[in-house]
Amino acid sequence: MIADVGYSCLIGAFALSIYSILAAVAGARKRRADFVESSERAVVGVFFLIVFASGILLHGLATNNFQIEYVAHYTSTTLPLSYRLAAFWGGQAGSLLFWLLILNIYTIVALLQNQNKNRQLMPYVSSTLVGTSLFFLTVLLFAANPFRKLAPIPLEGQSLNPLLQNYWMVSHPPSLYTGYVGLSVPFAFGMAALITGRLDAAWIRAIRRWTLFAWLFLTLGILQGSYWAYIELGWGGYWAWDPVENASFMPWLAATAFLHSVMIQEKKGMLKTWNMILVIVAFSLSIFGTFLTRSGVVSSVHSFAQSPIGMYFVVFMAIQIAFSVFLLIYRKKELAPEARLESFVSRESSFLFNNVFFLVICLAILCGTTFPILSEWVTGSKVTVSAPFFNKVTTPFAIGLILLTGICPLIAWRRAGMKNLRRNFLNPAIFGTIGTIVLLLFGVRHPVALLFFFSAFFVLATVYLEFTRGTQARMAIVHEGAPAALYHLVERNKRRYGGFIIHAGVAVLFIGIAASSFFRIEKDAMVQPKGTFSAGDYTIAFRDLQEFKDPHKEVVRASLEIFKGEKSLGFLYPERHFYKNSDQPTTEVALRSFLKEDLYVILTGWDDKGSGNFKVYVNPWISLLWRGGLIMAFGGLIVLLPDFKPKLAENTVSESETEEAHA
Amino acid sequence: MRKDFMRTRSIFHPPSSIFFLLLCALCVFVVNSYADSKPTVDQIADKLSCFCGTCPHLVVSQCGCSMADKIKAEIGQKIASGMNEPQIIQSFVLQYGETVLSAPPKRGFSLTAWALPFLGFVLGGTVLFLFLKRQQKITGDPPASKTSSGPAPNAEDDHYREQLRKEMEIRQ
Repeated sequence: MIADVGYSCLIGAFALSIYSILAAVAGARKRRADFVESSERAVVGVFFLIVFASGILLHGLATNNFQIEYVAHYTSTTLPLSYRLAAFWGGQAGSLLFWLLILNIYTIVALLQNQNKNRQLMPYVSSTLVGTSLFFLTVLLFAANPFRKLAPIPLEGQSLNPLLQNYWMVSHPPSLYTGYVGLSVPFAFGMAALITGRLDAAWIRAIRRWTLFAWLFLTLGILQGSYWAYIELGWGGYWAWDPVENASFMPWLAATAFLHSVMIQEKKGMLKTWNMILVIVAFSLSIFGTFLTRSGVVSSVHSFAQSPIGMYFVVFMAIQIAFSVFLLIYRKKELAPEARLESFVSRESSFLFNNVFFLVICLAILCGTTFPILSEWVTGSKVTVSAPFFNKVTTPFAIGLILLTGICPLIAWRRAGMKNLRRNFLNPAIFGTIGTIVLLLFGVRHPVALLFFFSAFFVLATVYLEFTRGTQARMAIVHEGAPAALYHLVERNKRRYGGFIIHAGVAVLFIGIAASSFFRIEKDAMVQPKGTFSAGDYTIAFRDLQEFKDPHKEVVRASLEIFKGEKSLGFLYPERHFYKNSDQPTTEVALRSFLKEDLYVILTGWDDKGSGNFKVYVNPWISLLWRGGLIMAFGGLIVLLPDFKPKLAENTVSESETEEAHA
Repeated sequence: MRKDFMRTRSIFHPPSSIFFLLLCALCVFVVNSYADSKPTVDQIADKLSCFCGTCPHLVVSQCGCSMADKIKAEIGQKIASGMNEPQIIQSFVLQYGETVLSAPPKRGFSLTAWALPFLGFVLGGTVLFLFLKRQQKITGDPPASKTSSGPAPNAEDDHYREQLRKEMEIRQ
């Protein structure tokens, strides 16, 4: 019964979506405000129906209502409540409903935000967003029904994939989806601007924060996903260039390129067509990513079973891209730039080069991700495309991009002369070179790693110098102390200095990536009880193996005491889990993190005599990867913070008025 | 126009050129010293894909399954028997087919996977170069005041000073 109510909600939302689109378009074309208002009320109706449908599915998951096939497939009575709720996005149909739910939250927020502005754009903004909702409703109603019923009702469910039973899987998909779906709003505003021909700065102003918001959550989602892979998949790494990882990274690259080039449009009125293309590409890649993840067209550790939804996505993407391209061509004249680029050596040009690098990396990833399918179609033979391909192809562009990360924000607008270049880049280049030579003297020989380190040091030096100069200028002119000067510098120029913090995060992240990738220590050992082995500077003493059960799994646990020199650092307990509802055992990594390195131990096997097989990784400076990612997110948050300048100005005025009154 | 383009090339002045030459020499030295190192089991295992079924996208050197262990042991034996890297990889291709390779071979249709990103870069770079050149042609040669030490760069260099002056004006 309750499942039928859920399905009915989806049907109601489907019908109301069609009405909303028709009313909005008719209202905009006939200039009928009542039609537009009616369409917006229909959007609210769609929102509540989808919230209600999602609530029904969540209730079913929480209460183990195995009458609903989805619940029976992804939960069990022994599964903890948090994972039962997380199963909402753990399976295909649920995750598509989750996509739809977030999209509708965004649609409502966008409508509320623009109740008194951008009124000419809004009918088309809401139509585009509701049109996207309509597509997902079509998929849910006709190909992936989350409320399909089972008869007879099973007594127990099949439970969630053991690999997904990790607390990072509770927060990682929502972050990623918030980012993915967030790219729909800039696309909707872009389409509205193209349809109405209102291609001035208004739509750009309306979407910059939305894109940044989506970017921030994509960054956090990718970071959490990487950490989940690191601690859960048990191969010592965090990024395997899996198709699903790639699917999240590609829209991130396009959105990052847009956030850079949009500055040129805001400042100079240039690159209107290019920015529109980037908005379309970012949205298309977010749909393509969902298609890759959900259709099972490419095999992946994350992807769900082969299903018929792929064809729905292909048709939707074809329509969306064709419509976008048509509008771009139709509005070609209105998209003409208001100014011209003056020099090859300028911030505008450097941003364009940065865009080329971002998109080429995106192309390389797209190429590698889809090549196995393409090769099978063309030649009939399968090929494998995994990490070595992606690492080789993307590394040169990644190094170029890091260098541009240092160059872009400091090179002058319009035309950079020798003085500007020398003043901003000579010291960072010297700092980078000295840092690289010091690493060489310490025995670091890997050329690619050294190039990464040089580039990262260069970026860090540019950021440091910019903060130092800005702070010193404030100290000299306003006579503030250093902490106050630094605080006000960032607080009054959030966008600029938040951006610098993001760049510093990128540099720190790449130091972590290069160090942990090129200088990882790996050790395999078969050890008898009470035996010892070493990995890097650590001596590991194997104490014993224990076996025990809990309601939904059997556990084999090894006790290992870790020593550095003579000093004991405590115990590590790597485990293997055998879930009742899964044939595949999972690895529970034992991890000890230090600032300098991680000690990462996996129990790979054992024998009847109690001997244990262990794989140990010492990952140097991997903590910098996570810290760099968090610094990036922190920088993004600073840029996103609302600007309190008018308030401050008012405060300043009132302060001065008070002073005058006292005088 | 050409004159202007030449002027932007003035960044390659003697001290910078010496600095970049030293940097290149450093890179060449490092690459040569790195190239001397011998291939190891892991370096070869990096070029082979594990097909155990539990890790479809991991290379043999990263996968912890028994099949990966077996392949690594085989690689060790083949190195000990005097086989070089291409011979070892070829022996696995003969045994398991080309899907065992962790990356597509650089020949035939598979070459497109390798070439496309670089072609994209060359194409993107060329289009950007031509676009910038065309833009400069339309803009024409800028007046002398806009060159190296002109007002635009200085204004940008002193961004935060301008910002401060505005704040000071508000305070006063």
